[in-house]
Amino acid sequence: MLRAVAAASVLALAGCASVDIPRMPGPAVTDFVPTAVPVAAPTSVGNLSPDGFQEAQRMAVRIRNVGCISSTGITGYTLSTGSGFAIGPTTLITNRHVVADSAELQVSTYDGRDVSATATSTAAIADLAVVRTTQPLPTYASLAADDPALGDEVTVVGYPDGGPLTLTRGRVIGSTTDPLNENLGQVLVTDAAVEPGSSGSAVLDSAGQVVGVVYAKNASDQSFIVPVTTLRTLLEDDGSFVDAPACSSLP
Amino acid sequence: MLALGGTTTYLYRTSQAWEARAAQYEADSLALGADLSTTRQDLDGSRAELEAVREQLSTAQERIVALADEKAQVGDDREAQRLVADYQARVSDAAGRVASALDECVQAQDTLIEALGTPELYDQVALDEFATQVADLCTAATEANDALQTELGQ
Repeated sequence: MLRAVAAASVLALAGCASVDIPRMPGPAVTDFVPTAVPVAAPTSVGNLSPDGFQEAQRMAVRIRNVGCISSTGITGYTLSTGSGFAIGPTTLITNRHVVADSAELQVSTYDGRDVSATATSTAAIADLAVVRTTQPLPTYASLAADDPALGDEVTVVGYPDGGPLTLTRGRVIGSTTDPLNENLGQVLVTDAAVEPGSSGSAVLDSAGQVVGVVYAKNASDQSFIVPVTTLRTLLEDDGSFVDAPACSSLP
Repeated sequence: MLALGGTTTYLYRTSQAWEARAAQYEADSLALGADLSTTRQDLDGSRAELEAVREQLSTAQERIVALADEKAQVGDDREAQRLVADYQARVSDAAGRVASALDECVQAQDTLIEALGTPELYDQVALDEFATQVADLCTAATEANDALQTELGQ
């Protein structure tokens, strides 16, 4: 009522011109904090594994090969180490020469846990082997669909010289015929440094997928890897892996 | 005159209401500012703690890798020692068997020599057969010794 009177009087004073009448404040705002705000996108996913280790480390295994003794039962004892990586809950890949002439394989994970190996099968045309374990492995890798291209950055995950778990970076620098087994065909060459004990290491691309398996090196410190397409082809062929021969005499 | 008075009263009350509202909002903004300041400090503290935890995690991971390596090296040493112990046991066993065979050979040869010294006491056919058995025994002992020496030489 008062506002109407005031408006009428002001209009009269202004000679019917349009005038903004100050209004009484409306209901007071009491909550200035919005219930939903835009969430900033994380700049990094960090290490979101159960223990903070990278997946590349968690899939890697160290393999100790306790060798067969000679047929006469006296000499021939050997002990060697190699690397490998899980491709399934209880399945891992390594090199054939890592598991060759083995009386016992002793597998351990990135955090030092021992995993029992039960069965080993090897490929005839490539330096590859499949090892089955009784206990589940911490995690396992996914295989890339294609081989890496020339110049692609790769990471080798393994146990060089049987020492600590190591990640080594490098690039694909070419391809060549397999220097050790002519039946295999083309293999990839990288400049990632590897050592004895690195055999069987996974070669990962920038997305963390397996693109190859280390199996040899040359005097120029170049490493040779079995391409992932070869690994895929052999895994898909039931007859490509056969049971590894047992020792004629166990220690 | 009445209208002017009403207008003045309305404008006065409106002004008062807005002044009260402004004071309330200023108090609210000061409270929000205090909350924001506290939250920023908490965030800075949380970030510092997160960074510390990251460093601790990194240290723990490095330690885990190192411990896993130490365990692996101990395992390698253990297996190597076990293999050496097995090897020594096998060599000792093989050497014992070779020594026993050579001893049997020597004893048989002594017996044969003694028999050959008094051939009239024995049937010649039986003596020849015994000599053949002694030769076979000594040949087997010599071959076992040669095999052992070859193995040890590898």
